[in-house]
Amino acid sequence: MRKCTDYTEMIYEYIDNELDSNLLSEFEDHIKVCHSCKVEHDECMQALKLINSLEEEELPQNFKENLHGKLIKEKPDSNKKNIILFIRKKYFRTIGSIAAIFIFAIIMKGFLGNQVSLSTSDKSAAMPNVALSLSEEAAAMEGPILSKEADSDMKRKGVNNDVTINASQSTIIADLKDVEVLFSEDVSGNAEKTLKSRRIVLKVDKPENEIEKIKTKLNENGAKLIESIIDVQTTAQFSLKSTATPGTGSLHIEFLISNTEFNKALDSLKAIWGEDAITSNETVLIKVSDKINQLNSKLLELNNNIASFDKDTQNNITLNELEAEKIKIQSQIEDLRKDVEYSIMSISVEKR
Amino acid sequence: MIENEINLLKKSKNGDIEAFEELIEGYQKKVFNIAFRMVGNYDDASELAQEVFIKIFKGIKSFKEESTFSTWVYKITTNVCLDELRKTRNKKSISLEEELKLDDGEVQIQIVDQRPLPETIFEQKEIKKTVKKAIDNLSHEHRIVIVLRELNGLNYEEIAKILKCPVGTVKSRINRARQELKEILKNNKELFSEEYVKISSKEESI
Repeated sequence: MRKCTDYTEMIYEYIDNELDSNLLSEFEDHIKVCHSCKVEHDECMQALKLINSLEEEELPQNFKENLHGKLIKEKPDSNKKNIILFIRKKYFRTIGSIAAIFIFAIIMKGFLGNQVSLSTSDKSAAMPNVALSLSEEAAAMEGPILSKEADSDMKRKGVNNDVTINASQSTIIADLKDVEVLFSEDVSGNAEKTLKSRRIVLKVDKPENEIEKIKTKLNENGAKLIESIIDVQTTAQFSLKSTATPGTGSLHIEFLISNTEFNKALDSLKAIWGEDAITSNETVLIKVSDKINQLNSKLLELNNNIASFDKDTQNNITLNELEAEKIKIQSQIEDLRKDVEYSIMSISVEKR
Repeated sequence: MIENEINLLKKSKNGDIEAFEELIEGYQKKVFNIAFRMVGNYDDASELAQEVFIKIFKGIKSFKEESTFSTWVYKITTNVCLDELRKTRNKKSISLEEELKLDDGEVQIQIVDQRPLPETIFEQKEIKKTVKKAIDNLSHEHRIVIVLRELNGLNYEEIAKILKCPVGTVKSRINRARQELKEILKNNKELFSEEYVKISSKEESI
């Protein structure tokens, strides 16, 4: 004859459905008649129910990215001096901005940015003049910084690989081809370098009104605007205006900045909006050759666009815009190629 | 082992990080949660979970496929967590005491509080906090079996392989741990009042 203690020993096995079938009915019969064992059983059930009320916690933010960085370091054949990061499609999404959006934004800008068409039928003759005087509409849409940058890029013509936008179309294409070859050779030589992307969230009261100030401050510290502002709220259709649509709470801007200047630039931002306005400051490493390859493929695309420009009279993008874009990308590639000590400072500006 | 896992494992052994990440995709949250329940702190758990995966990555060549990959993952997780707890045992007991200090400086002796139980979301949170504290108060040996069994739903046999001990030992350890936990939770009589038991079983049936 079993005692109550024998039955209470079986409780958890019973609950776990691990009790032998011959004991099962015996156990059930017993708790039907024994009050104390029934109470004990109920308490065990209740305790397990309470324990199981704990829910699974979500993975911490950036867990996967951080782990990825550590794995790279552990990779047996990785060069310890140069930490290489391979940016995967998946991470583009997580990173949210760096390269994917950046490249996409350039493409969008190239094709949809300024709805300005060349009105004259004599394109080749009009080209040089148009290049130097963007229409008012275009300037307004681009904002002062971008048009200024386009101008200065144009003034630098001839410096970078003899690309000149005032030359005839065929000359430009020929030169660009040389440029590409040169870059890809260099890439293979410097394939193991990394570029830092520093992600910063700056919380300000009115994001849409502070953009110019941010750009000016960062320009003063040697940062170069590498892309227009992306309106984070409407990521499906990137806003390429220099200010965001009023009312949206969040914007995104990217700058190329040398590592040595980075902290100064950050301090500059803090000096204006306060230490507490910067809410996040993360670093992601990007393989520099990947970045250059991306830019190169964009360059190729621009090339094709320029090549087919004459045939496509319906195209509403002016040739000089394409070329300004091209020069911009070239100088970015140049910067990346020459000096991997650069960072991409990617700033999200949010409402406080 | 499913074909895809074998394939990913093979690539991971050759140092393919992407394959490795795909391989561990389904384990990351689980490992993090084991670590979180073991150390009771979000940041430490995050660090530990990363340490686990680094260890797995570094040691993946030595994984002989005698056990399943999941058992191996949990084995390493368990070891890393228990090592950490051993290392920080002294530190931990001090910080626990600090946690128990009330605002007015008195030290709360009971782990669970004795306030009445309104049926609100807030109360649900309180219950979870109480349970969490109760688990934190278990010995490491008991805590790990509770975490693996109750929170990760592993069966006795899997746990035996992870802890490298006989199934019978696991069974009795789980039962002792449950019993200990029950006794701690019973300090809060409300959680075991007839009324509450009824309410919670009603909730479950809905």
